[in-house]
Amino acid sequence: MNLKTILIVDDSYSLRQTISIALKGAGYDVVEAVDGRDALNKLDGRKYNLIISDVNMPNLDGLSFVREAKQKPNYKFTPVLMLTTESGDSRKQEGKAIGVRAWVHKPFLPPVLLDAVAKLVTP
Amino acid sequence: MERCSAEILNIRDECIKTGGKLPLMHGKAACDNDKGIVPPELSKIKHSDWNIVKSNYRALLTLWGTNALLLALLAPRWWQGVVAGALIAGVAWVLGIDRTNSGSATVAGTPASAVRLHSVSHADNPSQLPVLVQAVVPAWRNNVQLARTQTQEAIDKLTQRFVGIHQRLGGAVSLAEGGKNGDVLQVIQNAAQQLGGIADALEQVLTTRDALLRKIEALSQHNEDIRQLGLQVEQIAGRTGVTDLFSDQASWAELAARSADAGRQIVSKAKAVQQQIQATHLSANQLDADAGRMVDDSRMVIDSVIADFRQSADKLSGTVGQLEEENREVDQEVCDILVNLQFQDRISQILDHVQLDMIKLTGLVENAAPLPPSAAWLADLEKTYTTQEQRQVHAGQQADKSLQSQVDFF
Repeated sequence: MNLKTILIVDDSYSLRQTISIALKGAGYDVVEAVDGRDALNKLDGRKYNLIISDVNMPNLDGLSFVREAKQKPNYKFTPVLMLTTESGDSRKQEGKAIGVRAWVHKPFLPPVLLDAVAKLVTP
Repeated sequence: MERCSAEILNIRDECIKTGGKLPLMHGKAACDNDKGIVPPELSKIKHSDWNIVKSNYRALLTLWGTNALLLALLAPRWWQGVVAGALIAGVAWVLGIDRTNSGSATVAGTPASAVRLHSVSHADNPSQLPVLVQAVVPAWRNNVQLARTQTQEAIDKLTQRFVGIHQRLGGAVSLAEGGKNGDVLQVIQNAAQQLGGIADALEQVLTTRDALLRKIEALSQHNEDIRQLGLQVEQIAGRTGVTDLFSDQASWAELAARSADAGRQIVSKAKAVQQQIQATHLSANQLDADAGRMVDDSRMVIDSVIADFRQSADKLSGTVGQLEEENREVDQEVCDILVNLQFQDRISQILDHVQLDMIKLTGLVENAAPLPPSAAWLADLEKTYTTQEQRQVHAGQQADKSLQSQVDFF
Protein backbone atom coordinates (compact mmCIF):
# COMPACT_ATOMS: atom_id res chain seq x y z
CA MET A 1 0.00 0.00 0.00
CA ASN A 2 1.47 3.32 -1.07
CA LEU A 3 0.82 5.82 1.73
CA LYS A 4 0.61 9.52 1.07
CA THR A 5 3.42 11.35 2.81
CA ILE A 6 2.99 14.63 4.68
CA LEU A 7 5.85 16.83 5.92
CA ILE A 8 5.12 18.39 9.32
CA VAL A 9 7.16 21.45 10.30
CA ASP A 10 6.75 22.68 13.88
CA ASP A 11 9.22 23.58 16.62
CA SER A 12 6.93 22.21 19.33
CA TYR A 13 7.50 18.52 19.99
CA SER A 14 4.04 18.06 21.52
CA LEU A 15 2.38 19.68 18.52
CA ARG A 16 4.33 17.51 16.11
CA GLN A 17 3.22 14.45 18.04
CA THR A 18 -0.39 15.56 18.10
CA ILE A 19 -0.44 16.25 14.36
CA SER A 20 1.45 13.06 13.65
CA ILE A 21 -0.97 10.88 15.62
CA ALA A 22 -3.95 12.45 13.89
CA LEU A 23 -2.45 11.97 10.43
CA LYS A 24 -1.15 8.46 11.00
CA GLY A 25 -4.53 7.50 12.42
CA ALA A 26 -6.04 8.60 9.12
CA GLY A 27 -3.57 6.50 7.14
CA TYR A 28 -0.96 9.05 6.15
CA ASP A 29 2.78 8.64 6.39
CA VAL A 30 4.53 11.47 8.22
CA VAL A 31 7.95 13.12 8.11
CA GLU A 32 8.77 15.63 10.87
CA ALA A 33 10.96 18.73 10.84
CA VAL A 34 11.75 20.91 13.85
CA ASP A 35 11.95 24.25 12.01
CA GLY A 36 12.10 25.77 8.54
CA ARG A 37 15.81 25.07 8.15
CA ASP A 38 15.37 21.42 9.07
CA ALA A 39 12.40 21.20 6.71
CA LEU A 40 14.42 22.58 3.80
CA ASN A 41 17.01 19.88 4.44
CA LYS A 42 14.24 17.31 4.18
CA LEU A 43 13.16 18.57 0.78
CA ASP A 44 15.73 16.19 -0.64
CA GLY A 45 13.84 14.80 -3.59
CA ARG A 46 11.38 12.55 -1.84
CA LYS A 47 7.76 13.15 -2.67
CA TYR A 48 5.46 14.91 -0.22
CA ASN A 49 1.75 15.00 -0.91
CA LEU A 50 1.30 17.91 1.48
CA ILE A 51 3.34 20.20 3.73
CA ILE A 52 1.96 21.35 7.09
CA SER A 53 3.98 24.14 8.66
CA ASP A 54 3.90 26.39 11.70
CA VAL A 55 4.63 30.11 11.17
CA ASN A 56 6.63 31.26 14.18
CA MET A 57 9.71 29.08 14.49
CA PRO A 58 13.39 29.60 15.30
CA ASN A 59 16.16 29.51 12.67
CA LEU A 60 13.78 29.83 9.74
CA ASP A 61 10.13 30.83 10.12
CA GLY A 62 7.33 29.07 8.31
CA LEU A 63 6.59 31.66 5.64
CA SER A 64 10.28 32.01 4.75
CA PHE A 65 10.49 28.24 4.51
CA VAL A 66 7.51 28.11 2.16
CA ARG A 67 9.02 30.88 0.08
CA GLU A 68 12.24 28.89 -0.33
CA ALA A 69 10.43 25.60 -0.83
CA LYS A 70 8.43 27.07 -3.70
CA GLN A 71 11.70 27.90 -5.44
CA LYS A 72 12.54 24.20 -5.65
CA PRO A 73 11.18 22.63 -8.85
CA ASN A 74 10.27 19.36 -7.12
CA TYR A 75 8.14 21.11 -4.53
CA LYS A 76 6.81 24.05 -6.48
CA PHE A 77 3.35 22.50 -6.69
CA THR A 78 3.30 20.72 -3.34
CA PRO A 79 0.30 22.11 -1.44
CA VAL A 80 1.11 23.89 1.82
CA LEU A 81 -1.15 24.24 4.84
CA MET A 82 -0.11 26.61 7.62
CA LEU A 83 -1.05 25.44 11.12
CA THR A 84 -0.42 28.29 13.52
CA THR A 85 -1.60 30.47 16.39
CA GLU A 86 -0.95 33.42 14.09
CA SER A 87 -4.28 35.00 13.27
CA GLY A 88 -3.29 38.33 11.78
CA ASP A 89 -4.76 39.03 8.37
CA SER A 90 -1.51 40.48 7.09
CA ARG A 91 0.34 37.22 7.73
CA LYS A 92 -2.48 35.26 6.09
CA GLN A 93 -2.32 37.46 3.03
CA GLU A 94 1.43 37.08 2.99
CA GLY A 95 0.97 33.32 3.07
CA LYS A 96 -1.61 33.40 0.33
CA ALA A 97 0.72 35.48 -1.83
CA ILE A 98 3.52 32.93 -1.62
CA GLY A 99 1.29 29.98 -2.43
CA VAL A 100 -0.10 28.75 0.88
CA ARG A 101 -3.37 26.92 0.23
CA ALA A 102 -4.95 26.87 3.71
CA TRP A 103 -4.52 28.50 7.08
CA VAL A 104 -5.59 26.48 10.14
CA HIS A 105 -5.63 28.06 13.57
CA LYS A 106 -4.25 26.40 16.66
CA PRO A 107 -5.48 24.83 18.80
CA PHE A 108 -6.83 22.56 16.10
CA LEU A 109 -9.34 19.76 16.30
CA PRO A 110 -8.06 16.62 14.54
CA PRO A 111 -11.22 16.12 12.44
CA VAL A 112 -11.01 19.72 11.22
CA LEU A 113 -7.36 19.33 10.30
CA LEU A 114 -7.99 15.97 8.62
CA ASP A 115 -10.82 17.47 6.62
CA ALA A 116 -8.55 20.25 5.39
CA VAL A 117 -5.76 17.77 4.66
CA ALA A 118 -8.11 15.56 2.66
CA LYS A 119 -9.08 18.56 0.53
CA LEU A 120 -5.49 19.56 -0.20
CA VAL A 121 -3.44 16.41 -0.37
CA THR A 122 -2.24 15.50 -3.85
CA PRO A 123 -2.96 12.08 -5.36
CA MET B 1 24.23 43.49 42.59
CA GLU B 2 25.36 42.96 46.18
CA ARG B 3 28.99 42.90 45.08
CA CYS B 4 28.49 46.19 43.26
CA SER B 5 26.99 47.83 46.36
CA ALA B 6 29.92 46.65 48.44
CA GLU B 7 32.35 48.19 45.98
CA ILE B 8 30.56 51.51 46.16
CA LEU B 9 30.64 51.48 49.94
CA ASN B 10 34.37 50.78 49.79
CA ILE B 11 34.84 53.72 47.45
CA ARG B 12 32.98 55.97 49.86
CA ASP B 13 35.01 54.81 52.82
CA GLU B 14 38.28 55.29 50.96
CA CYS B 15 37.20 58.76 49.91
CA ILE B 16 36.55 59.74 53.49
CA LYS B 17 39.85 58.23 54.68
CA THR B 18 41.89 60.07 52.05
CA GLY B 19 40.39 63.36 53.04
CA GLY B 20 38.52 63.97 49.89
CA LYS B 21 40.86 62.42 47.34
CA LEU B 22 38.48 60.64 45.08
CA PRO B 23 39.49 57.01 44.81
CA LEU B 24 39.79 55.37 41.46
CA MET B 25 36.65 53.62 40.43
CA HIS B 26 37.87 50.08 40.60
CA GLY B 27 34.26 49.14 41.20
CA LYS B 28 33.45 50.00 37.59
CA ALA B 29 34.46 46.67 36.28
CA ALA B 30 32.38 44.92 38.86
CA CYS B 31 29.35 47.01 38.03
CA ASP B 32 29.84 46.59 34.31
CA ASN B 33 30.35 42.90 34.68
CA ASP B 34 27.09 42.77 36.53
CA LYS B 35 25.42 44.06 33.38
CA GLY B 36 25.05 47.46 34.96
CA ILE B 37 22.40 46.28 37.35
CA VAL B 38 22.98 48.71 40.15
CA PRO B 39 20.78 49.20 43.17
CA PRO B 40 18.83 52.43 43.47
CA GLU B 41 20.81 53.49 46.54
CA LEU B 42 23.94 53.70 44.37
CA SER B 43 23.28 57.24 43.17
CA LYS B 44 22.54 58.44 46.70
CA ILE B 45 25.85 57.03 47.92
CA LYS B 46 27.79 58.74 45.12
CA HIS B 47 26.16 62.11 45.66
CA SER B 48 26.80 62.03 49.40
CA ASP B 49 30.42 61.00 48.79
CA TRP B 50 30.89 63.91 46.50
CA ASN B 51 29.44 66.33 49.03
CA ILE B 52 32.16 65.18 51.44
CA VAL B 53 34.80 65.68 48.77
CA LYS B 54 33.56 69.17 47.91
CA SER B 55 33.39 70.30 51.55
CA ASN B 56 36.99 69.14 52.11
CA TYR B 57 38.20 71.17 49.17
CA ARG B 58 36.52 74.30 50.53
CA ALA B 59 38.45 73.83 53.77
CA LEU B 60 41.66 73.48 51.79
CA LEU B 61 40.94 76.65 49.85
CA THR B 62 40.41 78.51 53.11
CA LEU B 63 43.69 77.08 54.34
CA TRP B 64 45.47 78.11 51.18
CA GLY B 65 43.97 81.66 51.39
CA THR B 66 45.26 82.03 54.93
CA ASN B 67 48.61 80.79 53.70
CA ALA B 68 48.70 83.53 51.02
CA LEU B 69 47.86 86.19 53.61
CA LEU B 70 50.71 84.99 55.82
CA LEU B 71 53.08 85.02 52.85
CA ALA B 72 52.10 88.63 52.12
CA LEU B 73 52.85 89.57 55.69
CA LEU B 74 56.12 87.64 55.86
CA ALA B 75 57.47 88.48 52.40
CA PRO B 76 60.27 91.07 52.05
CA ARG B 77 57.83 93.16 50.07
CA TRP B 78 54.20 92.85 50.97
CA TRP B 79 52.97 92.77 47.35
CA GLN B 80 55.29 89.84 46.59
CA GLY B 81 53.62 87.89 49.39
CA VAL B 82 50.17 88.85 48.11
CA VAL B 83 51.07 87.78 44.57
CA ALA B 84 52.54 84.48 45.80
CA GLY B 85 49.48 83.84 48.00
CA ALA B 86 47.11 84.78 45.17
CA LEU B 87 48.93 82.47 42.80
CA ILE B 88 48.83 79.60 45.27
CA ALA B 89 45.17 80.27 46.02
CA GLY B 90 44.40 80.54 42.28
CA VAL B 91 46.15 77.29 41.53
CA ALA B 92 44.36 75.68 44.44
CA TRP B 93 41.03 77.03 43.22
CA VAL B 94 41.64 75.84 39.69
CA LEU B 95 42.70 72.47 40.98
CA GLY B 96 39.57 72.35 43.14
CA ILE B 97 37.31 73.06 40.17
CA ASP B 98 39.09 70.48 38.03
CA ARG B 99 38.79 67.95 40.75
CA THR B 100 35.14 68.77 41.15
CA ASN B 101 34.50 68.44 37.43
CA SER B 102 36.60 65.32 36.99
CA GLY B 103 35.00 63.78 40.06
CA SER B 104 31.56 64.58 38.80
CA ALA B 105 32.41 63.16 35.40
CA THR B 106 33.79 60.04 36.98
CA VAL B 107 30.72 59.60 39.09
CA ALA B 108 28.49 60.13 36.11
CA GLY B 109 30.45 57.83 33.89
CA THR B 110 32.03 55.17 36.00
CA PRO B 111 29.35 53.12 37.69
CA ALA B 112 27.95 52.63 34.27
CA SER B 113 24.32 52.34 33.53
CA ALA B 114 22.78 53.03 36.87
CA VAL B 115 24.18 56.50 37.21
CA ARG B 116 23.68 57.21 33.57
CA LEU B 117 20.16 56.02 33.96
CA HIS B 118 19.59 58.61 36.65
CA SER B 119 21.31 61.30 34.67
CA VAL B 120 19.29 60.52 31.58
CA SER B 121 15.95 59.46 32.82
CA HIS B 122 15.70 61.72 35.80
CA ALA B 123 17.48 64.71 34.42
CA ASP B 124 16.40 64.64 30.79
CA ASN B 125 12.92 63.17 31.17
CA PRO B 126 12.27 62.19 34.74
CA SER B 127 8.61 61.31 34.21
CA GLN B 128 9.05 59.04 31.18
CA LEU B 129 9.97 55.76 32.92
CA PRO B 130 7.10 55.73 35.44
CA VAL B 131 4.65 56.64 32.70
CA LEU B 132 5.97 53.91 30.46
CA VAL B 133 5.99 51.34 33.24
CA GLN B 134 2.48 52.36 34.22
CA ALA B 135 1.33 51.77 30.66
CA VAL B 136 3.28 48.63 29.82
CA VAL B 137 2.97 46.64 33.03
CA PRO B 138 -0.83 46.25 32.67
CA ALA B 139 -0.24 44.83 29.20
CA TRP B 140 2.25 42.37 30.61
CA ARG B 141 -0.16 41.62 33.42
CA ASN B 142 -3.01 40.97 30.96
CA ASN B 143 -0.83 38.62 28.98
CA VAL B 144 0.32 36.79 32.07
CA GLN B 145 -3.29 36.59 33.25
CA LEU B 146 -4.31 35.22 29.85
CA ALA B 147 -1.60 32.60 30.09
CA ARG B 148 -2.68 31.74 33.62
CA THR B 149 -6.33 31.46 32.61
CA GLN B 150 -5.53 29.30 29.63
CA THR B 151 -3.28 27.12 31.75
CA GLN B 152 -5.93 26.75 34.41
CA GLU B 153 -8.67 25.91 31.92
CA ALA B 154 -6.48 23.46 30.07
CA ILE B 155 -5.37 21.80 33.28
CA ASP B 156 -9.00 21.56 34.42
CA LYS B 157 -9.95 19.93 31.14
CA LEU B 158 -6.99 17.60 31.32
CA THR B 159 -7.94 16.69 34.87
CA GLN B 160 -11.48 15.92 33.75
CA ARG B 161 -10.13 13.78 30.94
CA PHE B 162 -7.79 11.90 33.21
CA VAL B 163 -10.60 11.32 35.71
CA GLY B 164 -12.71 10.00 32.83
CA ILE B 165 -9.93 7.69 31.71
CA HIS B 166 -9.39 6.53 35.27
CA GLN B 167 -13.07 5.69 35.64
CA ARG B 168 -13.24 3.96 32.28
CA LEU B 169 -10.17 1.90 32.99
CA GLY B 170 -11.67 0.96 36.36
CA GLY B 171 -14.86 -0.11 34.61
CA ALA B 172 -12.90 -2.07 32.04
CA VAL B 173 -10.98 -3.85 34.77
CA SER B 174 -14.26 -4.74 36.51
CA LEU B 175 -15.64 -6.04 33.22
CA ALA B 176 -12.54 -8.09 32.63
CA GLU B 177 -12.71 -9.48 36.15
CA GLY B 178 -16.42 -10.23 35.63
CA GLY B 179 -15.58 -12.11 32.48
CA LYS B 180 -12.76 -13.92 34.16
CA ASN B 181 -14.76 -14.98 37.23
CA GLY B 182 -18.06 -15.38 35.46
CA ASP B 183 -20.11 -18.40 34.61
CA VAL B 184 -17.88 -19.76 31.90
CA LEU B 185 -15.94 -22.18 34.07
CA GLN B 186 -19.11 -23.19 35.88
CA VAL B 187 -20.85 -23.73 32.58
CA ILE B 188 -18.02 -25.93 31.38
CA GLN B 189 -18.08 -27.92 34.62
CA ASN B 190 -21.83 -28.33 34.42
CA ALA B 191 -21.55 -29.34 30.78
CA ALA B 192 -18.91 -31.94 31.63
CA GLN B 193 -21.11 -33.31 34.38
CA GLN B 194 -24.26 -33.40 32.30
CA LEU B 195 -22.55 -34.83 29.24
CA GLY B 196 -20.94 -37.39 31.52
CA GLY B 197 -24.48 -38.51 32.46
CA ILE B 198 -25.27 -38.93 28.79
CA ALA B 199 -22.16 -41.03 28.36
CA ASP B 200 -23.23 -43.20 31.29
CA ALA B 201 -26.67 -43.62 29.76
CA LEU B 202 -25.11 -44.50 26.42
CA GLU B 203 -22.92 -47.10 28.11
CA GLN B 204 -26.02 -48.52 29.78
CA VAL B 205 -27.75 -48.74 26.41
CA LEU B 206 -24.71 -50.46 24.98
CA THR B 207 -24.77 -52.95 27.85
CA THR B 208 -28.45 -53.62 27.26
CA ARG B 209 -27.77 -54.00 23.56
CA ASP B 210 -24.96 -56.48 24.26
CA ALA B 211 -27.30 -58.48 26.48
CA LEU B 212 -29.90 -58.44 23.73
CA LEU B 213 -27.33 -59.62 21.21
CA ARG B 214 -26.35 -62.41 23.53
CA LYS B 215 -29.99 -63.43 23.80
CA ILE B 216 -30.36 -63.32 20.04
CA GLU B 217 -27.25 -65.46 19.72
CA ALA B 218 -28.76 -67.92 22.24
CA LEU B 219 -31.95 -67.94 20.17
CA SER B 220 -29.87 -68.67 17.11
CA GLN B 221 -28.25 -71.54 18.96
CA HIS B 222 -31.67 -72.85 20.04
CA ASN B 223 -32.84 -72.53 16.46
CA GLU B 224 -29.87 -74.58 15.34
CA ASP B 225 -30.66 -77.21 17.96
CA ILE B 226 -34.26 -77.36 16.76
CA ARG B 227 -33.06 -77.68 13.19
CA GLN B 228 -30.80 -80.57 14.17
CA LEU B 229 -33.66 -82.26 15.97
CA GLY B 230 -35.82 -81.77 12.92
CA LEU B 231 -33.13 -83.40 10.79
CA GLN B 232 -33.01 -86.30 13.19
CA VAL B 233 -36.79 -86.67 12.98
CA GLU B 234 -36.48 -86.46 9.23
CA GLN B 235 -33.83 -89.17 9.24
CA ILE B 236 -36.07 -91.34 11.43
CA ALA B 237 -38.89 -90.70 9.04
CA GLY B 238 -36.56 -91.55 6.11
CA ARG B 239 -35.84 -94.86 7.55
CA THR B 240 -39.52 -95.67 7.89
CA GLY B 241 -39.98 -96.48 4.22
CA VAL B 242 -42.46 -98.92 2.68
CA THR B 243 -40.25 -101.87 3.58
CA ASP B 244 -40.21 -100.71 7.15
CA LEU B 245 -43.96 -100.78 7.22
CA PHE B 246 -43.65 -104.49 7.24
CA SER B 247 -40.95 -104.78 9.82
CA ASP B 248 -41.53 -106.20 13.20
CA GLN B 249 -43.30 -104.77 16.15
CA ALA B 250 -40.02 -103.99 17.90
CA SER B 251 -38.83 -101.86 15.15
CA TRP B 252 -42.03 -99.84 15.24
CA ALA B 253 -41.68 -99.43 18.94
CA GLU B 254 -38.10 -98.28 18.64
CA LEU B 255 -38.98 -95.80 15.96
CA ALA B 256 -41.85 -94.51 18.00
CA ALA B 257 -39.63 -94.14 21.00
CA ARG B 258 -36.98 -92.26 19.10
CA SER B 259 -39.56 -90.02 17.48
CA ALA B 260 -41.16 -89.37 20.80
CA ASP B 261 -37.79 -88.48 22.28
CA ALA B 262 -37.02 -86.19 19.40
CA GLY B 263 -40.46 -84.66 19.70
CA ARG B 264 -39.99 -84.04 23.40
CA GLN B 265 -36.67 -82.44 22.72
CA ILE B 266 -38.22 -80.27 20.04
CA VAL B 267 -40.99 -79.29 22.39
CA SER B 268 -38.47 -78.56 25.07
CA LYS B 269 -36.33 -76.56 22.75
CA ALA B 270 -39.34 -74.78 21.34
CA LYS B 271 -40.42 -73.88 24.85
CA ALA B 272 -36.94 -72.57 25.63
CA VAL B 273 -36.95 -70.65 22.38
CA GLN B 274 -40.32 -69.21 23.21
CA GLN B 275 -39.03 -68.11 26.58
CA GLN B 276 -35.94 -66.67 24.97
CA ILE B 277 -38.05 -64.87 22.43
CA GLN B 278 -40.22 -63.43 25.14
CA ALA B 279 -37.14 -62.38 27.12
CA THR B 280 -35.58 -60.92 24.01
CA HIS B 281 -38.80 -59.12 23.22
CA LEU B 282 -38.84 -57.71 26.71
CA SER B 283 -35.19 -56.74 26.43
CA ALA B 284 -35.80 -55.18 23.07
CA ASN B 285 -38.75 -53.25 24.43
CA GLN B 286 -36.67 -52.26 27.43
CA LEU B 287 -33.84 -51.23 25.17
CA ASP B 288 -36.22 -49.24 23.04
CA ALA B 289 -37.69 -47.55 26.07
CA ASP B 290 -34.28 -46.90 27.56
CA ALA B 291 -32.94 -45.60 24.25
CA GLY B 292 -35.93 -43.34 23.79
CA ARG B 293 -35.65 -42.03 27.32
CA MET B 294 -31.92 -41.65 26.94
CA VAL B 295 -32.33 -39.76 23.67
CA ASP B 296 -34.87 -37.49 25.32
CA ASP B 297 -32.66 -37.01 28.34
CA SER B 298 -29.62 -36.43 26.14
CA ARG B 299 -31.51 -33.91 24.06
CA MET B 300 -32.54 -32.07 27.19
CA VAL B 301 -29.02 -32.14 28.58
CA ILE B 302 -27.51 -31.04 25.29
CA ASP B 303 -30.10 -28.27 24.96
CA SER B 304 -29.34 -27.19 28.48
CA VAL B 305 -25.60 -27.24 27.87
CA ILE B 306 -25.99 -25.35 24.61
CA ALA B 307 -28.24 -22.81 26.33
CA ASP B 308 -25.68 -22.34 29.07
CA PHE B 309 -22.90 -21.95 26.52
CA ARG B 310 -25.01 -19.54 24.50
CA GLN B 311 -25.72 -17.49 27.61
CA SER B 312 -22.04 -17.42 28.51
CA ALA B 313 -21.09 -16.61 24.94
CA ASP B 314 -23.64 -13.78 24.87
CA LYS B 315 -22.28 -12.52 28.15
CA LEU B 316 -18.72 -12.71 26.89
CA SER B 317 -19.72 -11.06 23.65
CA GLY B 318 -21.40 -8.29 25.61
CA THR B 319 -18.33 -7.88 27.77
CA VAL B 320 -16.08 -7.75 24.73
CA GLY B 321 -18.43 -5.21 23.16
CA GLN B 322 -18.35 -3.08 26.30
CA LEU B 323 -14.57 -3.34 26.46
CA GLU B 324 -14.35 -2.28 22.82
CA GLU B 325 -16.62 0.66 23.53
CA GLU B 326 -14.54 1.60 26.58
CA ASN B 327 -11.42 1.30 24.47
CA ARG B 328 -12.90 3.67 21.89
CA GLU B 329 -13.89 6.11 24.60
CA VAL B 330 -10.43 6.01 26.19
CA ASP B 331 -8.89 6.51 22.76
CA GLN B 332 -11.12 9.54 22.23
CA GLU B 333 -10.19 10.86 25.67
CA VAL B 334 -6.50 10.53 24.82
CA CYS B 335 -7.06 12.37 21.53
CA ASP B 336 -8.85 15.14 23.41
CA ILE B 337 -5.97 15.32 25.86
CA LEU B 338 -3.53 15.73 23.01
CA VAL B 339 -5.68 18.54 21.64
CA ASN B 340 -5.81 20.20 25.05
CA LEU B 341 -2.05 19.89 25.39
CA GLN B 342 -1.76 22.42 22.57
CA PHE B 343 -2.34 25.09 25.21
CA GLN B 344 1.36 24.78 26.07
CA ASP B 345 2.33 26.12 22.64
CA ARG B 346 0.06 29.15 22.96
CA ILE B 347 1.07 29.92 26.52
CA SER B 348 4.72 29.56 25.64
CA GLN B 349 4.25 32.15 22.90
CA ILE B 350 2.32 34.54 25.15
CA LEU B 351 4.96 34.38 27.87
CA ASP B 352 7.68 34.69 25.23
CA HIS B 353 6.17 37.98 24.06
CA VAL B 354 6.07 39.30 27.62
CA GLN B 355 9.62 38.12 28.25
CA LEU B 356 10.92 39.78 25.08
CA ASP B 357 9.20 43.02 26.05
CA MET B 358 10.79 42.89 29.49
CA ILE B 359 14.19 42.31 27.91
CA LYS B 360 13.54 45.23 25.58
CA LEU B 361 12.79 47.58 28.48
CA THR B 362 15.77 46.34 30.48
CA GLY B 363 18.02 46.85 27.48
CA LEU B 364 16.89 50.43 26.99
CA VAL B 365 17.37 51.20 30.66
CA GLU B 366 20.81 49.62 30.73
CA ASN B 367 21.95 51.50 27.69
CA ALA B 368 20.33 54.70 28.89
CA ALA B 369 18.57 54.91 25.58
CA PRO B 370 15.69 57.35 25.26
CA LEU B 371 12.43 55.73 26.29
CA PRO B 372 9.68 55.87 23.70
CA PRO B 373 6.21 57.14 24.48
CA SER B 374 4.08 54.49 26.14
CA ALA B 375 1.58 54.45 23.25
CA ALA B 376 4.33 53.63 20.79
CA TRP B 377 5.66 50.97 23.11
CA LEU B 378 2.23 49.35 23.48
CA ALA B 379 1.69 49.48 19.72
CA ASP B 380 5.00 47.68 19.20
CA LEU B 381 4.07 45.11 21.83
CA GLU B 382 0.73 44.49 20.13
CA LYS B 383 2.52 43.84 16.84
CA THR B 384 4.25 40.85 18.43
CA TYR B 385 0.96 39.16 19.30
CA THR B 386 -0.05 36.14 17.29
CA THR B 387 -3.37 35.16 18.79
CA GLN B 388 -6.70 36.91 18.67
CA GLU B 389 -7.07 36.48 22.43
CA GLN B 390 -3.87 38.44 23.05
CA ARG B 391 -5.14 41.31 20.96
CA GLN B 392 -8.43 41.19 22.78
CA VAL B 393 -6.94 41.27 26.28
CA HIS B 394 -4.48 43.94 25.14
CA ALA B 395 -7.47 46.08 24.25
CA GLY B 396 -8.95 45.35 27.66
CA GLN B 397 -11.57 42.99 26.28
CA GLN B 398 -12.50 39.52 27.44
CA ALA B 399 -10.70 36.73 25.60
CA ASP B 400 -13.05 34.96 23.21
CA LYS B 401 -12.96 31.29 24.10
CA SER B 402 -15.00 30.29 21.05
CA LEU B 403 -12.07 30.82 18.70
CA GLN B 404 -11.43 27.20 17.81
CA SER B 405 -9.86 25.46 14.88
CA GLN B 406 -10.81 27.94 12.19
CA VAL B 407 -9.76 27.05 8.65
CA ASP B 408 -9.22 29.53 5.83
CA PHE B 409 -8.76 28.16 2.32
CA PHE B 410 -7.09 30.31 -0.30
